[in-house]
Amino acid sequence: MKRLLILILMLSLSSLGQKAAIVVNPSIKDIKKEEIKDILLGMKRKKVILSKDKAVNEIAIEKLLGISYENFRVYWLERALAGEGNLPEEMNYKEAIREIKKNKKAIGILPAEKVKSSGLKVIMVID
Amino acid sequence: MRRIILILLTFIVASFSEENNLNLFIYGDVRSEYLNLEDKANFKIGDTDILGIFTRGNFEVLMEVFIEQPDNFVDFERLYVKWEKFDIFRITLGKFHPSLGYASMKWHHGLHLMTIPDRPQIINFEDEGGPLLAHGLGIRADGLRKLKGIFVGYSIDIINGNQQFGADNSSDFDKYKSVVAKLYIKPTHFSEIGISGAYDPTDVNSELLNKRVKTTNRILGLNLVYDKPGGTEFIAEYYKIDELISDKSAWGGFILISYPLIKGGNIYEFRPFLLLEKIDWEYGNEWFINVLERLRLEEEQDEYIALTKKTGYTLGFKLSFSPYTALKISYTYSDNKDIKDTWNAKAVLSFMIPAYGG
Repeated sequence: MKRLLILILMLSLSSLGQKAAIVVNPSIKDIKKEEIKDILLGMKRKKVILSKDKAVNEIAIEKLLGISYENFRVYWLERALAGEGNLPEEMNYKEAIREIKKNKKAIGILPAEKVKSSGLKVIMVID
Repeated sequence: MRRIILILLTFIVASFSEENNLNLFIYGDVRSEYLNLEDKANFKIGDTDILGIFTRGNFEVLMEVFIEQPDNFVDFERLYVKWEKFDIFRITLGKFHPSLGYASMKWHHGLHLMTIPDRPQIINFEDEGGPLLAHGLGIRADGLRKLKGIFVGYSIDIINGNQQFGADNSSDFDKYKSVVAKLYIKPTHFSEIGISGAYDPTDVNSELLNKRVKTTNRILGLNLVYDKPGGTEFIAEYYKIDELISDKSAWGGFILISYPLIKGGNIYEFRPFLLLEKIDWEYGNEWFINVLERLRLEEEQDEYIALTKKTGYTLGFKLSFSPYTALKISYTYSDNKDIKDTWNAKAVLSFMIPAYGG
């Protein structure tokens, strides 16, 4: 029981320290914070890739856009139904890294520690 | 029905390629309404909507099939192909909602997405007595660009005409085309100030009315919006409709305000709302007279009442159990000029099912 409690505590602490990275294809020049917001909200058309780890998405979306990740999903759902683009895709970090390397028009929100030596360009780290 | 299944299967098979993307949604509602004029409460199955969005590269195909009650009438509400290589210039070909205001295009037929149970009368659909162009078959050019920190957008539609009389899903009954245009700015990501307009000449030549009258509506619209996801919703729209041949006009609009009072816990969101709406037709407006006559002949009694001069006040709430299911309760009082005042109460259970993708 004690071990279980310690494990739960360690897991909680590790999620508290989680950081989100905004990443793009290495060939892309720097993108400003305001432009990242425009892209995430679909006002500039790019492929938005989100992490399978919802906590990472929550950190990035709440800090950048000032709305919850759940509301962000609903926003995109409404946009898609109105015919204004595709829902951002959730991918595990390996798939996401592969996709962003392949697609110059893709932007991703991924766990910061997973993209350190991925070869992707890290535009911003959010914690 | 076989045609719909075939199209859906084509959509699904096409999506197996990695480059393709398909989303399928089903939404609808079950409701109960009490109208004081009829003094009866009814349970009703609302309309059901099947929406498929298929994208590949710079192309998007959207198909929205609507099953209308009480006759299970199947209708294509939107069916188009969009080419969207550039943000500043996109082309859409097919059937879509014309670019008047903000709410009509945001809500389309997805009643579940709206905070309120039904559309305000000024932007209601043609077959429910709405006076504006709610559907159009034709071509659209639109785009959006950021200039000095503010997004500026435009949209121009050339369409067959008003589906009250001038056109239907497949063809036009007269030689005229309607032009709809919108120019807007977005001072912040979740706000919009827009001006829209339309020139809509129509030969009222319906078999139902057995007569031919030319009318020309010139529409001017303004919209002011702050619509933050999960936050404050403020939508105000105003329209002036001038019928140029009889030289009679009309105006109408609505203001919707809502705010999520409770979020989280056992529910997704509890959002009370207030809706104020107004519609006022000048007597002798030829187009309006024919709309009323058509509605009377089709025995669309509710809509007939809704289309007279009125001011409506609606109070209610949307209780969302999740983003996909909600209960909406509303009370509406209508202050009517030519007939006695009316009120109604509605309880609507709406849903949306992400059937594929989503």
